[in-house]
Amino acid sequence: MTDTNRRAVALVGNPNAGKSSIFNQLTGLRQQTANFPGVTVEKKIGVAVLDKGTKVDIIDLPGCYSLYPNSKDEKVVLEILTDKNNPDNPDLIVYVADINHLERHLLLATQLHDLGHHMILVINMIDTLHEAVIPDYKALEKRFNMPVIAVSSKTGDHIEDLKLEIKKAINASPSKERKPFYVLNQLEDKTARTVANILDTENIYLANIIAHHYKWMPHLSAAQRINIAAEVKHQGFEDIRFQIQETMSRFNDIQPLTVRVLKNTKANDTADLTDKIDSILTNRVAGPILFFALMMLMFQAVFSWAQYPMEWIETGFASAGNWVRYVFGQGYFSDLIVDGILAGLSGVLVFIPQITILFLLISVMEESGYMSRAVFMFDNIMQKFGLNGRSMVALISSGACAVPAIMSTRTISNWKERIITIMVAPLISCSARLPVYALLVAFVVPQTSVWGIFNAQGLVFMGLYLLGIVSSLVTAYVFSLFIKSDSRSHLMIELPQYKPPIWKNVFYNVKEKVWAFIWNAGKIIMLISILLWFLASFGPSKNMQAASDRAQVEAGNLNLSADEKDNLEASYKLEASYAGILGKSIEPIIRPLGFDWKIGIALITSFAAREVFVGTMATIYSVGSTEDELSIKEKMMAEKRPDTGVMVYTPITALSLLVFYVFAMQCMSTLAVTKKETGSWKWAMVQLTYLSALAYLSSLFIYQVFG
Amino acid sequence: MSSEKSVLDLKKGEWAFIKSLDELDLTCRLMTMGVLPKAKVQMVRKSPFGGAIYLKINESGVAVRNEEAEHIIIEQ
Repeated sequence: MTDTNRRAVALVGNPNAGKSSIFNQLTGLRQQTANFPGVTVEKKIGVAVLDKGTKVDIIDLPGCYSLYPNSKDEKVVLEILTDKNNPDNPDLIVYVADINHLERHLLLATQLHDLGHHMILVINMIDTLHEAVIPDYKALEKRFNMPVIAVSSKTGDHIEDLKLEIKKAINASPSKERKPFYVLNQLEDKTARTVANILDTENIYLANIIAHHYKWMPHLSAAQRINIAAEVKHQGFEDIRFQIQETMSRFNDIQPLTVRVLKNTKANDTADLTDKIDSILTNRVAGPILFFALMMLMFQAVFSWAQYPMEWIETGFASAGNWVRYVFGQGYFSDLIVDGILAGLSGVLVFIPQITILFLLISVMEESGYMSRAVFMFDNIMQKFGLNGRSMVALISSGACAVPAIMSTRTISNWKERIITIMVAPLISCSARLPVYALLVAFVVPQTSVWGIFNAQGLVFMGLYLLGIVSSLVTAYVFSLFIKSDSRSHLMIELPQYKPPIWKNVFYNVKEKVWAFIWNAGKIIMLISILLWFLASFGPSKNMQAASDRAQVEAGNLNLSADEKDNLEASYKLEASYAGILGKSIEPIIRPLGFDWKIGIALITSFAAREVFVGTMATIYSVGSTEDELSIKEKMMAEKRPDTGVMVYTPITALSLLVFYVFAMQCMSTLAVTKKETGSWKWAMVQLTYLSALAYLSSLFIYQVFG
Repeated sequence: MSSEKSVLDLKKGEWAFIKSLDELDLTCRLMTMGVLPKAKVQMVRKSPFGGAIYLKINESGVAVRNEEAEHIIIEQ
């Protein structure tokens, strides 16, 4: 998508300045998302058509408060803007500031000004101004000595003017005459001049910034780092104190300037409304209640509304499968396409309704400004477990599905809190556990009522959900003791004024999340699906043939119908397949949990997704259709140990299996998403290992103590 | 030190001017959020489960934890 000959424009600004809206206005559908190399910081790039024949690349850099970074996002911005050789270093910066927070938002602008960047200053959200207010943009233009454009990213006002200005600027060279906002003190100046020599740059302020950050900046050579370290030490360069001095001095310049621009008029009129809304939404009593009501609505939406489109997708794939079998006939080719590729594809696409609905609601909460209130309200509780206020939303959505929940942790800026949230999210029972719970719960307790009001099976269900919730919090706490933090945990979050969501932004956000899932997690899900198909369909050819023959003979003896014969054959073949061999070989390991090799096979195949357990059980017990839950239950009820004649599915075995499914990481999609979101297999493996161990030990405990 | 009051001493709805920020590490971060000496700060309310407060700094809302807020010193 990017063309090396095209000029690059970077959008820079504080979080909540409306950068993304401007990005969407400029690029429309010509945009895509990637990660910056080596870090899991999102990089959004797109192409803007300025007029006929003139196109530029637009890169939307993460929100950033100043050149003294507090997060990974901000470090990325600093790296790009201070290193001329960085592949993302732009030809032009379009700096976006919100007119309602002009003073705060100009801090970074003055720093970039002093770095000598070629720049346009965009004053955003002018739609929120009273009509009577006409800001004095000329004053800004004069002081910054660069073009200033006032736009509204919400209504699209003056976006065309911005495009023209970008076109003009990109073909001109930046004005050399700049009066720095910050004049270095003597000691800074001395240090910076030496550093400037080391770096071979003319810009003293750039050298000063590098002197602050040389320790972690990846583009410096080892020699440069050593030399800078020596100089910094020699001069007694004081990192934090100088940083504060600089920030204060900049605000001393900015304050009178913004007064001149805004003429001391209060710009916004939504402040009162925000106060009124907040007096309810963040109220001591009503706040949490409304939050949980909203979460219940969200849970309901993802859990049940998504069912319909999910069924359509599954039905669609089922008919596609039938069509393939009809056209290509029976055989391995059709099997590969239907049971391997189509099953994998369906396993990917079936998540789209849930992901879409969840991110639609989350984006609306983010866009409207509600999300930061939720963080404010629950920060304290979640902190006790090593989590963050935002983890609350992720964990609740995990009750529907861990996949979108893990994707939603991107908004947690503290790395440690984010990793812990990702690690524990699969412990919350998701919708895919329901079919498994529903099948097995009947073996644990009969359908009776307790104390006349509660349904016994319902109580077991509730117990399983509670077990998931409690263990997620306990595990989070344990993780927080072991994971080292890369930065101090802060709350310090802006509570912006409420505003109706910009639907265009919501749309792009949802679309981006869905694509990211399909492309990144989808690949892994497809691969595992094909592998599992292979394991379940192939085996040593001698055994497979024997299984087939045995089914033929038995079917003949028992006078079975053609369908029944096929089911019996499928069952024997699964037993003889590699999956069957694996199932049998792990029997000694899972025997202490009360499981036999048949359950072993189902454990292996249901690694694809938990609900596959039911389908595999159906195949093993040669029940044609998974719809026929009753007959699977009957067959399982009748199952006895061949050696001892004892029932296999005693209440304790079933309970052991249920608890196993509460904990076990039986979901390749979650694994794939964890890998994608953390940027490495390491955390995915940690997750798989600890959840498997937890599942095994809990089941072992239950079966050995109560069995 | 103990004689100085921080924003935590403000009651709900009360406001004051910020005098200084007394912890170096936090200062830089707070300043970028607009928490500056001489700025007007109002205590809007405490978080429902404690641990954090909702402040208004020159009309913009900011939430900070108590242990962050105790370093925002106000004029008496």
